[in-house]
Amino acid sequence: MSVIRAVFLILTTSAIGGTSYVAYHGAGGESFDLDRSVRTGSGGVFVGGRVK
Amino acid sequence: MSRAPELATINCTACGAGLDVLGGGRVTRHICSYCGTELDATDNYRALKKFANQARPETPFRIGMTGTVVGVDWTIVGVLQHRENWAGKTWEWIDHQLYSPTHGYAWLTLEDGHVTFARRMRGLPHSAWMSERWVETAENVPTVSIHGQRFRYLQTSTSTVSFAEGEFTWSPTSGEKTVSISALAGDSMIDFAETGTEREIHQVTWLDPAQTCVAFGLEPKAIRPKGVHPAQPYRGWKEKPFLRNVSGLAAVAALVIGLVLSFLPGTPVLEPVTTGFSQLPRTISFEITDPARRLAGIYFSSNVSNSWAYVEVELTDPQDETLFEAGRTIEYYFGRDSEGNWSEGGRYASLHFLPTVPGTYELTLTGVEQGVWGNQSRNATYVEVTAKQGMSSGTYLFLLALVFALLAALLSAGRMIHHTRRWRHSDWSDD
Repeated sequence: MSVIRAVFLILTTSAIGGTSYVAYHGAGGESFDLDRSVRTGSGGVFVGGRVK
Repeated sequence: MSRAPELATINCTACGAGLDVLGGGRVTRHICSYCGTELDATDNYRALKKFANQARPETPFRIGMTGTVVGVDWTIVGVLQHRENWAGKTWEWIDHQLYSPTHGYAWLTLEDGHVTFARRMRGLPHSAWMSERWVETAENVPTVSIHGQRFRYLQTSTSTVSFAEGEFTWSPTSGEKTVSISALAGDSMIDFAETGTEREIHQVTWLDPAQTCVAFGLEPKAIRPKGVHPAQPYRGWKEKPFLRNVSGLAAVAALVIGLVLSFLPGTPVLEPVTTGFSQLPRTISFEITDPARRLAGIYFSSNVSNSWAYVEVELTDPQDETLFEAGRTIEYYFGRDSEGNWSEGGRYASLHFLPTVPGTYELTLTGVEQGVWGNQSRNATYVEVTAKQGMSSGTYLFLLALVFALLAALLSAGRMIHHTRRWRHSDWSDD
């Protein structure tokens, strides 16, 4: 098997495997219109409780 | 009467020029390269007539050149230029008569920088013929089966000889029409040629231009092909079929896995809780136990009827941090018109989120707005909430399947484009 074929097979299986893993955990299924608190993402400390 | 086999050179009986005799025992005519006189090779090279030669065609292949084509050593013994005029356009191509002491005669044709090799096919049944009349009267594309291959009509050319020199097994006549009908089957091409009462079928093979030039002792780039020849096989990158097939399989695999994950039902974490709009705001708790923190969903339903209700919600995580605020509109309309009953919208809405940690999440229904539309309308009075955890999503896998499908299509495009360009030479019209 040529190097190109081997590399392409590895990339393809990795892409499917990796995407399946994150998809199994629900990535990509979140609603897009959720008005999120920035605390969820930053983990920072903000004065006055809620940032929104 | 045939020519004396030991002859190597002759002098033109019209102009006296020395001419090489290269063409073997079946040659009947020799047209002088210097004065254009047609000599009878079977009758001591008696001068017959002067060939009305026009300008010498541009070809790097000359009489006397030798080269190996399709594994056989050939010598160029004659050159013919054909010309076709149609609809104000002119096409020209050059046939080089080839001779091999072991394989007889063949043609090396140069047109638009493409080189093809043609050999006469013998022993074919009478039915293996595509006539001009058939082509002109057929309602469907004519096809002929030869040696198990079905050849499909490509084009018709009606040409005349505008230049001739060298040795031939027949008598080229200036201005005499030759009708040649071409047909394709895969990469194979057949020519059905008719001149006067003579019919011949030739198998045409496209030759690599550079290799052919080198075979005849020319520079590899002595000829430069334009476009794609009808008999030209597709030569893509050798890894293309493998990459295309793997991409196609990967697209199918991603699609199937995505569908499976999309239909995984998840686990209920909140049995239906019904809340009257008059009881808002209200906080409802549910427990996320999945340590993998997979996708969770919150589902709303309401008794809307030709009405809408917009419910605002806020979700806090186990650390009492607000995870998000959102709103969902539930609306359902129905009625009857000239086409029958209709309905629009639904009594359900949902939202999905990724829990940050396992624990107790609190969903607060903070407020509601609502309205009605048309007859038989009714303001909704409650909202019912349920929740599930441990769900998956096929979204990214569907996107990945699309990427692989596009890659497979891209890798297939070269062959399809080549196929289209080959058949672009066709003059068939369904009209």
